[in-house]
Amino acid sequence: MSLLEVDGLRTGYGALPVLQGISFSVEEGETAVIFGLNGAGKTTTVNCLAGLLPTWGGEVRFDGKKISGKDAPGVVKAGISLSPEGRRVWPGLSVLKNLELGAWSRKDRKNIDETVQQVYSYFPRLDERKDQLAGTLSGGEQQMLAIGRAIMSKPRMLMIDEASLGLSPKLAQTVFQVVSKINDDGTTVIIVEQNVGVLPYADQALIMEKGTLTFDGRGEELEKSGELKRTYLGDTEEP
Amino acid sequence: MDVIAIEFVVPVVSGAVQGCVYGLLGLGLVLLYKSGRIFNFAQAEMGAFAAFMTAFADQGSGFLPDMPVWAAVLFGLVTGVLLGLLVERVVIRPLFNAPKVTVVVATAGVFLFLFAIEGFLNGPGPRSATRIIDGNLLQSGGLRVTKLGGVIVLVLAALAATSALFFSRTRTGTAIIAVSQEPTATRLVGISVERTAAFTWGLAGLLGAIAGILLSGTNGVIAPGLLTGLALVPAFTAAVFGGITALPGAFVGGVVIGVIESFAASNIPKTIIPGSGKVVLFVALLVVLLFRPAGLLGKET
Repeated sequence: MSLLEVDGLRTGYGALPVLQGISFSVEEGETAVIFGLNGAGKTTTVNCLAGLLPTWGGEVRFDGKKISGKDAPGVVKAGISLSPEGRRVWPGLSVLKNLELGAWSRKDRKNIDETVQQVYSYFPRLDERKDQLAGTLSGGEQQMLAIGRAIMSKPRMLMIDEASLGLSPKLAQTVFQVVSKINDDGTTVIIVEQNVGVLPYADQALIMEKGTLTFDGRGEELEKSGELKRTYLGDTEEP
Repeated sequence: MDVIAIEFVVPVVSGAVQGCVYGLLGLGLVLLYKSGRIFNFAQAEMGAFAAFMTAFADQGSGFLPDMPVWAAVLFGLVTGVLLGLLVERVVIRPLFNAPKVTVVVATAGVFLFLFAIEGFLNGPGPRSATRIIDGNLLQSGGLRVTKLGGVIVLVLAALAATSALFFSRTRTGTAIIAVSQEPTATRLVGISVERTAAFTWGLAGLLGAIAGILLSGTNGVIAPGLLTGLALVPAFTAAVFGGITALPGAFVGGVVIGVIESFAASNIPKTIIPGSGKVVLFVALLVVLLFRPAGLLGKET
């Protein structure tokens, strides 16, 4: 049984349908990357999985239990957390407060400090900036904070939307390496990306187009298939 | 006391006490602004509604049994909390995704609704309000501070301090700030935005009820719309003066505003500017908005 099973998921905004019924599954301990152009439905997919959007049809199971229909607090309690598009840190709260709030859903409040230290070990920069207001951080630091906050709930599965957006290629690689470390430490990961630099870290690769999945395979298969080139037509940048 | 001292001390003391009345109402305004960037036009009338309920219960008039004063006040406070919860559920929550200006106009609608309900229950005329405590704290020369005035100063100071601590120290307080800054992220970490909003409005209803009961007590009478007319704008000015998001600011701002108003009222002859106290308030509001929009204790954001 896969950790995450998505079966014919449909959703949209208001009356506008976006996801046309997509199905995929993610294995425990793996990293899945969702590629696709703007407007393909990547963010919609992870937002719907996170409970920010209502499910119109289909079913999502996590560890065998149905989670579609749960709201966002219900999903995070079930063990999935999302580092959302645009980072969405609390600008007027300190880095430490941001992290502590990330652990809101946890029952074991005594161990929260331990997880904060773990986040600092992934992102030493956050330790240096812990008393600074999150709104004063650079874009890269805010991305680190958003990811750090998302692992504060000790999720079994971490979803990161646009991990590298607006980051320098070097910083993007740093973020990917940390995410790979988080994955090695036992957390299943879904990354939404436009940057093909993430490909070496992907166990599984998915491509979305116009609300449907056009590719679902292993990371190395994607490299051989030429699907990426077709999707991002004209993108010849080497990872 | 010599004449100069009286001319100086009397307006300062009586103004400061009156200012605390404004600050008390301003506290609820600050809470709602801080938590959702909403200016609540109904804040004073929510308090007035609670004060009406207290007076009804105290006087045993109409539909309520006669209660002792403490029970009447408790009844008024509970009404205030329930009213806050009801307003959130019926008016504010359905407008969660609406522009803020729509929500603000809706609160004006709540004011009109409460105004009408009060008129229906009480009639348009004044009713004597419940005073929780009678007598004077001190009286010498032209200076008089009532015990109720003393209670107001203490209650405001205590509430301003507790609510500031509430926001900086408690989980719920942090959750309210988190919702105001970034509702999506707040949902994602597992906080119910709806429950947080309900809590905030319940608290605003309680603060409004405390303000309404104490204010109408100092006023002596209560009538539909009276508190809104007398105190909403000064309370708003006090809140802005103190920095609209700083809870202790409502206290500081209230006292400053009260003293300014009282000085103006006692030193500018009515023949030159009638109602000079209120005029000076508006001038002060303008000056603050122009030169220090973040207020005395507020932070630029």
